[in-house]
Amino acid sequence: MKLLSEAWQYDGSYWGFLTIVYESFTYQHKPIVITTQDSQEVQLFEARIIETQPQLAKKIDCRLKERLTQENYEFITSGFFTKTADKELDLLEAISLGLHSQAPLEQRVTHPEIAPLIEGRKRIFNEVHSLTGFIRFEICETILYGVIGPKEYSIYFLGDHFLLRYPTYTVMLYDETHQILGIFDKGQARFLEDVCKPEVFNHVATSESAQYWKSFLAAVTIKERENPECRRGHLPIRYRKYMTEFQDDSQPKLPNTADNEITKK
Amino acid sequence: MNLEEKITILAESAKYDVSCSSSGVEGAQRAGSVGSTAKAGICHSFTSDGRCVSLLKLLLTNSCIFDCHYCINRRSNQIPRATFTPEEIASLTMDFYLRNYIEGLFLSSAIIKNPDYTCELLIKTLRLLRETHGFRGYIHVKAIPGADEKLIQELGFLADRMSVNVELPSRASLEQLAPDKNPLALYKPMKQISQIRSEQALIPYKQQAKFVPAGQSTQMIIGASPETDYEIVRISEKLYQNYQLKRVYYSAYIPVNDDSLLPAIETDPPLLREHRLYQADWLMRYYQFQAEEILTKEKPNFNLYLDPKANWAVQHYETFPVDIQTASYHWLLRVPGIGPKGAKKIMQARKYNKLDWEDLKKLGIVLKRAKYFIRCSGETQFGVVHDPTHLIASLMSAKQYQTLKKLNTQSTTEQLSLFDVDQVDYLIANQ
Repeated sequence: MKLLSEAWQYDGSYWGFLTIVYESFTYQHKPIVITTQDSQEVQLFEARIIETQPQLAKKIDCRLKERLTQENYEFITSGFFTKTADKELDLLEAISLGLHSQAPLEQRVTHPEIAPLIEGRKRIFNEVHSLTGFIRFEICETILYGVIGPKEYSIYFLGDHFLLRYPTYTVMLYDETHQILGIFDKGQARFLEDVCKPEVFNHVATSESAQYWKSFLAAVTIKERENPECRRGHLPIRYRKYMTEFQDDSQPKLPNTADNEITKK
Repeated sequence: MNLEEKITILAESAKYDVSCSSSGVEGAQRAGSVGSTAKAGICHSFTSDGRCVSLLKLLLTNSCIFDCHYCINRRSNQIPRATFTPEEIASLTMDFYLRNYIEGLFLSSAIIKNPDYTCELLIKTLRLLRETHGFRGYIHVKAIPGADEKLIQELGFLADRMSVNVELPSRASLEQLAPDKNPLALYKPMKQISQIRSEQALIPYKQQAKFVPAGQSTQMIIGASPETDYEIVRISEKLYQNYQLKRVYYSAYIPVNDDSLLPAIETDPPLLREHRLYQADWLMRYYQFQAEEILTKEKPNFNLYLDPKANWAVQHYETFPVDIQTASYHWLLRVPGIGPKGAKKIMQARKYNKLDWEDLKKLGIVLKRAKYFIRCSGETQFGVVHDPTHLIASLMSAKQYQTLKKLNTQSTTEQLSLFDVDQVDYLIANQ
């Protein structure tokens, strides 16, 4: 593939990226750098704007699904949601590798362009796994509502789990970091991007259950085995802000445990 | 008594049961309207002692007819007693589950009236959850030793995992410290569960109720009785082989009762020993080690300074270094610093290119430990000293060594049989 001495810019959406894939593979060339509209970095080259063409992008998506193994196709789609620098260029390389060989991309751990994607995916899925346990819901008739503050775009990967877990409920999940509202209902996950936190749920009364849960946790702790470092390793402090057991009614912030004192320092 | 007080009393009594895993069941095969199970299990919180909280761990009751010396709920103890009704447990579980506090229920019980009656109460609770509330999440329930076989079987079809606690490793200690328990009755439900499971495995797949799909586990108390580590590891190995147990849990004895037959009430729990036992347990389950390789009759206790795998590698130093490009999976697993994941990654990555030291770092291999035992492109790393005492010293940092020294419960003579204490002391001080 020929390396052009120019920069490309797209709108940052998945369809936009697939338009880039079309541009790159049709003409067998790629730029030095790919930026999005939101990127703040000053570039040496003036950027050529690649307009998103949804029709074309959908066609490319179908082609990729056909040509790549299912495993590799998922690698590309989830790789797009990582926050690694230059992920678009790495993904172009990954697609090109995937088209030439059926070998799982996930295994190319030593490849300089694939390794960052593998790392990024690992970060997402680790966070998704933690969140499946650490999210707390308020029950509002048949709606379960929870708030998260993730580092990654984990919300897109949480749907499967909660749809299976609460098939008769509507799960609403708000991502404070990226302002995304996920609605998981009737076997389908939908997402609203750039939305404010729904205020309807601010008035859900704190139930007795929260108190029961706190008493339960206090009762199962074995004092002779106290080990705050171990706890912090498993349950990083960034998740605690959203968890019932760390919300003190008298003090709106985190309770004054040994772990929190360490963070204050 | 209100519900909150009951939760406090009955969770407090249940906390010495270690098992809290929710793993092992794939796909939601049960009928019901709420709940799922994940193969890897999900942790929902961690207590300040760093232990995972995945299940709502409760006793149905803590009023026990038995008087086991090590147990907090023994008949002769003056502690508050409480009993849940099945409906209370079922609705609490459902509420916690919807709020995503828990992954399921862990239900155990003291023996109330007699084993059969206790077992019937457990069945009633589980039925209520599964049938009335439509719960298809994870349930771990205790098999009550001495209860009728039919009751155990019924319980098994309602639960995902069952366990019988061996509690004390040998029959002699069991007779001494748990005089009301029949040692043979302990193994009976274990045998029954493994038998039904293996019979079920022979039936070709069809929509059938699964009996204990996540298998069974057990727990042993460490430090309440005089068994050596070697004996404990051997017993675990036998349990894994004979009853196809998924897990054996070890619980460092925390003195809760003032009893002349037990360690004094001020004694610290042997946490380091417990940690080493878990490491040995992992070696048997994931690293293809045999109990006899980890400990021997002649050296029946762990080297508390080195983990069992590093200890084995130091003892068998003549078989190393192994070549990273050609070594089999079995041998990669034996190298300290390479675990099952690392070994698999090496096997995959070496298909594509010749691995060098930098690649190994990228694969997540702990080179600080592994460098003494491996060769890359036919050469060991530059500057590595090949002397077992040096090796022991370099496998620990000075800080680690000091912490381990503090936690050590072995005598100097015992330590001397394992390595030259003075020389290691000197080498670590000069690191």
